[in-house]
Amino acid sequence: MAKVELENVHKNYGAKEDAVKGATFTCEDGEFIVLLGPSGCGKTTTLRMITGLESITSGTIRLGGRVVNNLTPQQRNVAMAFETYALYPPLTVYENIAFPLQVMKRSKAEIDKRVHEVAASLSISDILDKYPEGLAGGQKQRVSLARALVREPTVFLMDEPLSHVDADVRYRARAEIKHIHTVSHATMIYVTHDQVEAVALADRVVVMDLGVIQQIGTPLDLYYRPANLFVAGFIGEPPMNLIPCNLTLDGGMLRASWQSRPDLEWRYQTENIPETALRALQAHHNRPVVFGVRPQRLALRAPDAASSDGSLTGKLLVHEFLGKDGIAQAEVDGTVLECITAPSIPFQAGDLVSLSAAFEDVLFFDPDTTRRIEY
Amino acid sequence: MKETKGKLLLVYLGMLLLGIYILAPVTWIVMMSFKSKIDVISVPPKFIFTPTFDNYLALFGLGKVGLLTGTTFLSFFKNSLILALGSVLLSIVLGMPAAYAFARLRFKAKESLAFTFLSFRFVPEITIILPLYVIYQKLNLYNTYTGLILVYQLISLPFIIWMMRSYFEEIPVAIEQAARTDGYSWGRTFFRMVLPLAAPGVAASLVLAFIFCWNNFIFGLMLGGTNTQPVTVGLLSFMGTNEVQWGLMAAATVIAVIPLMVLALSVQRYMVRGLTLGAVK
Ligand SMILES: Nc1ncnc2c1ncn2[C@@H]1O[C@H](COP(=O)(O)OP(=O)(O)OP(=O)(O)O)[C@@H](O)[C@H]1O
Ligand SMILES: [Mg+2]
Repeated sequence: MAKVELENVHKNYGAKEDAVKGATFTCEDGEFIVLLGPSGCGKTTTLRMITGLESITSGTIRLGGRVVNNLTPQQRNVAMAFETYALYPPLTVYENIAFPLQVMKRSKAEIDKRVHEVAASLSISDILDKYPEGLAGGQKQRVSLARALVREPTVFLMDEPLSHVDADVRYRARAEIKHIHTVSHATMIYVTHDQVEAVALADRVVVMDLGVIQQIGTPLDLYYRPANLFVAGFIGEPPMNLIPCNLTLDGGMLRASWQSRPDLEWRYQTENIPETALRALQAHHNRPVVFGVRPQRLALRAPDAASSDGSLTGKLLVHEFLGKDGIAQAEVDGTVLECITAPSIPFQAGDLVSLSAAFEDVLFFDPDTTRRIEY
Repeated sequence: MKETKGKLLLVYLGMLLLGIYILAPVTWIVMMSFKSKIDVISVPPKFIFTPTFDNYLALFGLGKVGLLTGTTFLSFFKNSLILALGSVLLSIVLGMPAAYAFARLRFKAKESLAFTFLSFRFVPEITIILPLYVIYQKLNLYNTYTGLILVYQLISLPFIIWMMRSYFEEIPVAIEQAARTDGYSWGRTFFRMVLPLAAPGVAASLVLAFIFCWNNFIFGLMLGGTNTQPVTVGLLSFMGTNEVQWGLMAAATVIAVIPLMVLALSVQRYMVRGLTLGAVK
């Protein structure tokens, strides 16, 4: 296995805009990287450039320290599992898994040994004689993983391998992939548009949008320290509450007053705010900001007269019971805020409630650059 | 119950009529080919007669019907084979890479280009035959196999491109990509992975193109001479100024149709699929 490095990689398909614009990231030896982004953002293109199926317009790709820009997929020795499995229909499962080794001209005995090992590790030993056509989705997926794993490649690439697996077995298949990574210590790059999958699998996630890498970080980073508004809105379920506000910082009070209704404001006493944060926010005094708070961190309480730090009064619209917790939607001046609550709450739809967020749980974004105000 | 039975009866009756309508001319020709010179022209037509192989024997130069042998027919038959096979071969060489490119690559004006090829099929052959006649005379292509095979590309090439394209499109790209990541070169992927998967379709399009070429009449008539003309034109030679050799002509027709029947039946299963696929794309 090997380290994968991309350096300012561009891909142009002939259109005005590049499909991938200067991708730079490193996947360490044995690391599990997930490329995450909405449809059409260039994930597959990036992956295909690493494989060698697609030429690189500019930039450098290194596998194990070696520049591979001009090498064929064969010379790069990368393995790839495809969204549609791409099993070879005229070959049996055994022959499918053996295929890459046969191409490499390994001995019959060695092929046989490897195929059986890999098949056993993925519990598909019993279907080796079958043809792909008759297999269930989950089985096909495992066969395609087996075919990729069998050759001990330098890096293991997967393009949405779970998107065609039925929802009820997807969770298991995902765990299986994680398990494969744990036991094989393979360098893996995994593409998905599903943030739940990304967060569950990745050591680090590379978030892409419109061909540009938005942020590279651990799932926790993305969740609590999103680099910009795109990442903040894309990661997390339900998505982060984002409210356009104006920021003022004077008289010992930080106020984020709603642009739609300036008398509504999130207020925090500066004495409770860390020095670094104050300094960073000071630069945005009297300027528009986007105020963000995760639904998990927005507390729903009974409205109290002595309005404390960072709270607003709203009207409860709906509350849904979700088993281990609940989700509420509350309206404040026409804006709906989402909020994760206890499974049951002592309020009815239509009741007035207080919505509050502690200062350490809120994020401020600069609407001009869309970047989070760092502190 | 009663009603459905009645309906079924009607359906069968309809099918019977249709069957007669379609098969009657074929039966007629086959019958004619086994009739003697006298029986062929007798009025009212004879349905019960003593069959004779004279016509067939004459065609192969083993006998005579009246004063005639039919050996020229054999050379027409050979011409047909050369022209149809040659055209289809050339069309594969030119058309298969084109079909693959249309199926797999993205490039400017792709659909317009594909449609241009298809439009060759729309032009009535008769509109281009005169200019071609003049050009062929000048280029010494008149009455040559090469000349006819070239003009036959108008028939077979668009067909092969469009039909093969739809078969290539049916094969998931991911399979090719998988084969390439697994270590196959591009060429090996095409010949060892794609082509075998597309084989039934490819065979069907070849056969169909062969049939279309075989059936062509006008190109051979106008751009070929007796040494290069196909059977379709050759049949005319049985029509003399004072006499039409019905029996010989019928036998020649039967023989000319046999290769097509065999081919068509062998790929029937894939043909309908290929044609309709091509149509919706
Ligand atoms: N072969 C190609 N030729 C031209 N443009 C392409 C080609 N492949 C992809 N594109 C374009 O490049 C952009 C990125 O495509 P890509 O397939 O990498 O996106 P993706 O992130 O994988 O999306 P999805 O989640 O839908 O798979 C898209 O706008 C797409 O239309
Ligand atoms: Mg994709």
